[in-house]
Amino acid sequence: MGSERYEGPLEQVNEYLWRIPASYKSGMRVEGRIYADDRLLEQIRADQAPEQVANVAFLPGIQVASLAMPDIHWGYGFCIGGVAATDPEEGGVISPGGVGYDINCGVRVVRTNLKKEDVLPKIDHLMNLLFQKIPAGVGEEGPYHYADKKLDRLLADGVQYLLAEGYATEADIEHTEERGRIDGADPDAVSPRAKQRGQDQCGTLGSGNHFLEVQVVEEVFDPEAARTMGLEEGTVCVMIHSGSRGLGYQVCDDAIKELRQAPAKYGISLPDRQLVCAPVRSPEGQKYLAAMRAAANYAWANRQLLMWQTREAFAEFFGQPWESLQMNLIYDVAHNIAKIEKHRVGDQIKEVCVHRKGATRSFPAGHPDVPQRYQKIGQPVIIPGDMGRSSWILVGQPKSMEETFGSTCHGAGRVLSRHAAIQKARGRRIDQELAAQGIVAKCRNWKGLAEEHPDAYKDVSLVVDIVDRAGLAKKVARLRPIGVVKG
Amino acid sequence: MYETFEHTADLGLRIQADSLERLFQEAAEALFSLLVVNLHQVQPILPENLRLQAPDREDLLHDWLSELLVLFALRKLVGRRFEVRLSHQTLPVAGPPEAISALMGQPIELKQEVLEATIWGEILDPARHQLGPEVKAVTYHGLRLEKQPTSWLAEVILDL
Repeated sequence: MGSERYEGPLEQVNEYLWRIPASYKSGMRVEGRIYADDRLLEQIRADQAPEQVANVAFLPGIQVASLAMPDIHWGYGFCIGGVAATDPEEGGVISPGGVGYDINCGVRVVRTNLKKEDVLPKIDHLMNLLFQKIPAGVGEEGPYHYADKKLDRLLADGVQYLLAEGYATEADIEHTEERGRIDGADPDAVSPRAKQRGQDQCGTLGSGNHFLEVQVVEEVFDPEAARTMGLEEGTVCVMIHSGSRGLGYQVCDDAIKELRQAPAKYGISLPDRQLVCAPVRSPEGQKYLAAMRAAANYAWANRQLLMWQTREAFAEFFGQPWESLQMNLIYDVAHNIAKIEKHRVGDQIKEVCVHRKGATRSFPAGHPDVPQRYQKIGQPVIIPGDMGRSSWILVGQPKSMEETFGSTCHGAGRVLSRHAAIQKARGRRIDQELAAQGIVAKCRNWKGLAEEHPDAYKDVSLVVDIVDRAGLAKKVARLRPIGVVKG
Repeated sequence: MYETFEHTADLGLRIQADSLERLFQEAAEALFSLLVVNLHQVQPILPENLRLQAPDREDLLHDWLSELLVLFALRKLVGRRFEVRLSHQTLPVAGPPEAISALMGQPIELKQEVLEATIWGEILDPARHQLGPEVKAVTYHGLRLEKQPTSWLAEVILDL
């Protein structure tokens, strides 16, 4: 297999929506739908990602359509940017490939009361301190150690366990998706090997596309929503993008291995082995759900500890407690996860299993799962950009409930493979190029920086434009990085 | 012989060798040469033995690379030289009743592919060994292992 162009059907539904009819491949149970405009569509056709949208439509019990957000790119099994909801009542399945190896990879943003002019003159020193304090890079271990019973409690209770440990506040919990603890996590469903991989990595950034950025609000699009979040032009924020580290990779790998025989056992025929799955209501499905939820709790705890270390570094640097710097968590979202949620399908309310693989929950104002503070504006949706380009904060909109099982995009989406990105960056000093744009980048691994350089990604603003105009989420603010820490 | 190939989010490994054992060795070297950029400076001094079994050769290749990745993640072992022995084993079916009923209509014994290996390497030393990108996992997506007229060919996609 190679990166051939997709030559199958893509029919235009409206300005922002394209469909792959269910008749494209025998075995598709529903159609495929891709949110994109003319400009993005050419990039999307360039590889086999649309084929993967069609393949996901094979999953038993899939409802309405196999969906893809505008940041769609070629993944393994599921495309990145994919959303699929299955109904357990109709034999609906759960697929570890629909969550991915980095279970509950996600992003959070914390505000400060600092302004751009307070930080910009000192940014180099601040980034040095953050680079020194925040464990980043392959195999890097952090100052926290969770093993045995402590790890089991962390897996069962996520950020709520950290509250008891003194590393979180009630407000942090209130402003984290699922309040930082998803129900139904079972530490016993997580293998000893996965636990071993997790014991020294909670509170570490990892490598690849994970990052910690100091950002400045560059433009506000919705002043009321921005005010509710404590943002205005010039506000300094910190964005953290990481997941469940080695523990999550191992949970996914264990599950895929255990599910090797499940499709044969349950009579499920699949076009790609990476789509292995089991009915939600089966012992195999329940075991994966319980382990995946434990890994999701670990990931929320990981981002909480990363934020905690950031608060401590800011307090040290600015010589005042983080509370007086008003470093409040705006929100934390998961973008690789499967969740049981209630959604309207036709004229029924159904409890479905929503897979979000590189997609973000986007619940509108008034939804019971949106925190009190955001009830009138909708759930904050955080879209990390790429180094040198902007990140975005949006809020969920009602149309996401009608069309995408309460989901929107998650990021920029790669257009260059890592391999090609390194080739393209050869002979260039990405850190110097970023410095010329006023961005201080700290990275343990220069090659790592090259893989993630801005040309490797779609322009996140194009992606955000489409979800905004399609009514899935609404623009609130654009943030520009001034400092980056990468693994 | 191995090379990398393009996959948008991830990285593919294409391995070619004149024997199946050689292919498994080359695949291991390909993986470690990604994890540690200057792999030639790693000394093959520490031995580590491994035994794996899987229902077919593709799964065995997947599991072999996954195990090496875990050795690297948990024990920081960087493999430099690999001795691989492959064989088959026929096992009587045992296990939970649902697993057995899933195999109804098939002979009640399982043929397993077996790998026994010795990995020679050393413990990662950040002062001397230059780390490459993090490899999260070995995927099953597009996994291929096939005999060609005069050689063996495999393709594996890694999640980076």
